[in-house]
Amino acid sequence: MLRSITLFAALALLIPAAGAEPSSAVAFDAATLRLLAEADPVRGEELAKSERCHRCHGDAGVSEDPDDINIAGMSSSYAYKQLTDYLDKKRDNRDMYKSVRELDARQLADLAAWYATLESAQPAPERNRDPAVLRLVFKGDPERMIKACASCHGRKGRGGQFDHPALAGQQRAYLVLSLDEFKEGDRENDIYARMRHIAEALTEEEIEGLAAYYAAAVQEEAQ
Amino acid sequence: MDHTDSARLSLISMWVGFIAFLAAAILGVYQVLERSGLIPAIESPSLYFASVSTHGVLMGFVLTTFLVVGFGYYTATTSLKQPLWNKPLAWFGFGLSIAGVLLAAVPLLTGQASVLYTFYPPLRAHPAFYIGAALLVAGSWFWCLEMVMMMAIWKRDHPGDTVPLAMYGTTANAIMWFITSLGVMLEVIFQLIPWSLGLVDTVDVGLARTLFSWTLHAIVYFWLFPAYIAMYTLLPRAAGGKLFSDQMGRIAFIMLLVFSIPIGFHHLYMDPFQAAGWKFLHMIGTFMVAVPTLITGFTIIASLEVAGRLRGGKGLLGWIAALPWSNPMVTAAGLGLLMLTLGGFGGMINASYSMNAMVHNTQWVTGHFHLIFAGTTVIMYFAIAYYLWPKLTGRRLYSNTLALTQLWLWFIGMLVLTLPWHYLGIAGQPRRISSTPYDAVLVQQWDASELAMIVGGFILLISALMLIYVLARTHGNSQQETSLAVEYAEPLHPVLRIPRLLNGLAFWTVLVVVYMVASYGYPILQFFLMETHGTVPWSI
Amino acid sequence: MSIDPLRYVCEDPLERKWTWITLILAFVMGGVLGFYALASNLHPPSNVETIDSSRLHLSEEFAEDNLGVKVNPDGSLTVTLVAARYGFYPPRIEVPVDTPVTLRMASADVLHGVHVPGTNMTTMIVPGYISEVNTTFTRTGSFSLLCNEFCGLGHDQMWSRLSVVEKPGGGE
Repeated sequence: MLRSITLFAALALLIPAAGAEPSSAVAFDAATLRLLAEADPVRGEELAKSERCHRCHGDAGVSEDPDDINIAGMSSSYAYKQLTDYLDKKRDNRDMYKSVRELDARQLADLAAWYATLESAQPAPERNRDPAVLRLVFKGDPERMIKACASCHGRKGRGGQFDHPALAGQQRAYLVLSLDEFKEGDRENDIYARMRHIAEALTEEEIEGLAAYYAAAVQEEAQ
Repeated sequence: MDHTDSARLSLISMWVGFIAFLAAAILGVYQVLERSGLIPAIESPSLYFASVSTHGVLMGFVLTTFLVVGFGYYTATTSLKQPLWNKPLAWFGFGLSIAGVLLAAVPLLTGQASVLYTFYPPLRAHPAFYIGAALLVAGSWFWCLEMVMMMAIWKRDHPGDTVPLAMYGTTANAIMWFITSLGVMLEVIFQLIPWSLGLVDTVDVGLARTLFSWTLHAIVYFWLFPAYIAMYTLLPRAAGGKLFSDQMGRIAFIMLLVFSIPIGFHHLYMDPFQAAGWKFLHMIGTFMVAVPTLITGFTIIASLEVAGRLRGGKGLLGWIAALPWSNPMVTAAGLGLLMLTLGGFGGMINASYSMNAMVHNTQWVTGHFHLIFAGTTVIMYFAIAYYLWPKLTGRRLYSNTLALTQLWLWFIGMLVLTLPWHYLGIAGQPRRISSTPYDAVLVQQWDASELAMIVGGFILLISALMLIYVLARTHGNSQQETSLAVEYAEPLHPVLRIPRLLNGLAFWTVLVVVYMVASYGYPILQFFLMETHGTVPWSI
Repeated sequence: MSIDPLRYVCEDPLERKWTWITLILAFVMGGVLGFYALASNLHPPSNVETIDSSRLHLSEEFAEDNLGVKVNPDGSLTVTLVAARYGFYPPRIEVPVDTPVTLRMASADVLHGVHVPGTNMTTMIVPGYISEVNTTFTRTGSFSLLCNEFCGLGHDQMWSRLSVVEKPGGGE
């Protein structure tokens, strides 16, 4: 009887602890960086073929379907983190989970390394030049404590270190979706809620405007 | 005249310093314009921070090192009246420093070393930047060796004689620079270079900042020594008088040698990796190092009073007007002492264990070091240049009037630039920012002072251009300079006998080393005794 | 007739007086600061505690759900903050006035510094080490935490808000 109570109590104590989960299991410590440095893009290319990533992400990592995601040129550290987050279910996406669940850390790193070598899509030439959007991109909005997007994502939107992704040349719908997911709290793998705090303060109109600023040319028009 | 074999090296070295100065002054104007917000097209954090990094390195490391070394060589040969100890070695050291500057310039100018002149890790610059910095310092060590050897040989050849004050100070500076630069060299060679090359994965930022603090305070005395040497040994005679006390000059130099290095923790007051007890110990030393400056102030002003009264000045303050203000050395010293007073007061706030918190890493600090370094120290560099150029080139100074105007513009520009910065710091503006995207309440408070920056910057640029113009035109001046010898000041009371401790530096060197072990020994050792976590490289 | 020890190094009586003044000045300033430091426990932040900044969000103290304001049993507050390019998290903090606050801060990436204009809250945040500041906010109002050490190209943008409010409800 006493043993059962003890066991029960121990289990009960675990429950609150179970709520205290980090938003991502990935840390960019020396070990992870070594893994990324030793990743092999050639192995990654083979994996991309065998896992058939091109079905959604296009042959060169630039998707033909505007509802999918461009991953060409994505920094390997960011790609590795997202893949691992999908695997750990820190980022919720059934399709991606099914795609990566059989892979180990080294293979994820190889894939990330391969896609990092590909040329990323460019932002549309006729990109949004609305002054309100440009202000958000380069100066932010101090009143709402919205930082300039460029401060983390780079002046040309080509991204920053580790988990600050490139935005320029991404699919427009995906950019909107990402910001909406951060805004609603449906996506939570931004460590310390860095994107959630910003997205919460953005209006839908601003989200559309920012997406239009960074987005790649619409594929149909490119033909 | 065998003591002019240093003339060419001196002149070239000081020119390198002044060219670096001009380039840095131009960058400074870009920076204040960028901050003003008046020209949106030039607003760019990457350009701004590359500029600040280059500006800082040029002003703080290149102008200074090459000027101190150049002035030091000429002071050694003219005060001791003997040739350089080893001329090829002196040139080699100079060449090594030049190589270092050129190597570091490439990443600096291409935005790959925008880590500011303090290069705190874990922001990582291109390895060539760190290697270049190490070469620059290593080159200066040859100068240190030359100064020590020249003084030792002179003493051997003149047993019992008094080492000329100018050389005593120069050698004290050389020893002090060697010991203090060890800190940054250890950081760069054992931490930053291997880490930036990828040979080690992580760097302990606490250890790096501790080693840098070892250098960080005394380096400003390395810069300041020539200003004091000029004030003690050139100014009194230029003003038409004598040096009030040769002995107090030696004591001031000795105190600077002993107290300026083991006090670096006042730069680390706000850092969590050093215990308060050590910071307290360093604070006491920091207040002691104010004493030689206060002594210098008295001695120099007293010397000026002697000169003023010799020239007929009467009454309590009448001697001030009687001084030969048309002599650039006198004007520079007067303006320099004013800036030293203001900047020194600010320094006492910074040194204060409990008041430092109010100003740490705010724009006050930027105001402080521009006032005291770019102000006092650099205006004396100008004075040294105006004094030495005619002797080094054999040509009269191109224009005394332009020189005086240049000095006054520098003084005015410096006050306009730095006094608002002191206010901005108290009003909470952080340093090292390229824009002010903060709450409107804060930013509005700062607006007026921000604009003062531009005015100050432009005045200083004009002054900088004038300096280079006067020095350059002196080379081609048709009029010959007749007084080619450096005229060192004589003491008011002739030095008949000098205590050994005031004529040598060996004892004081040992004292510094002991003091250093006491104040830095355990604080550095602790990093090897406790389990620390290093940090991986980060780009800007 | 007292013997002035400075006589051995300084001949001029006026200069000797001045030297005594400077020495006394240096000692007095150091002494006053020392006295206040020891008597009022007024020390700059100097806890020596290490932490692995590269795994900060996986630590216990700086886990994401441990950030922010917590009330201690004795009524004082502990505020846990993370400095990460380019912000302080959580970005909005509210504390009551006239209450002892211990701020515990760590960096998730590079060297940062933080100060709050209008208060005495200031410290460096060094990767690999935990910063601790003890203070009491004596005025209500809206304040900003500003990053004051160059931490990268977004350094200008790095800041957050602090609200100091009246203490919750008086006696009822």
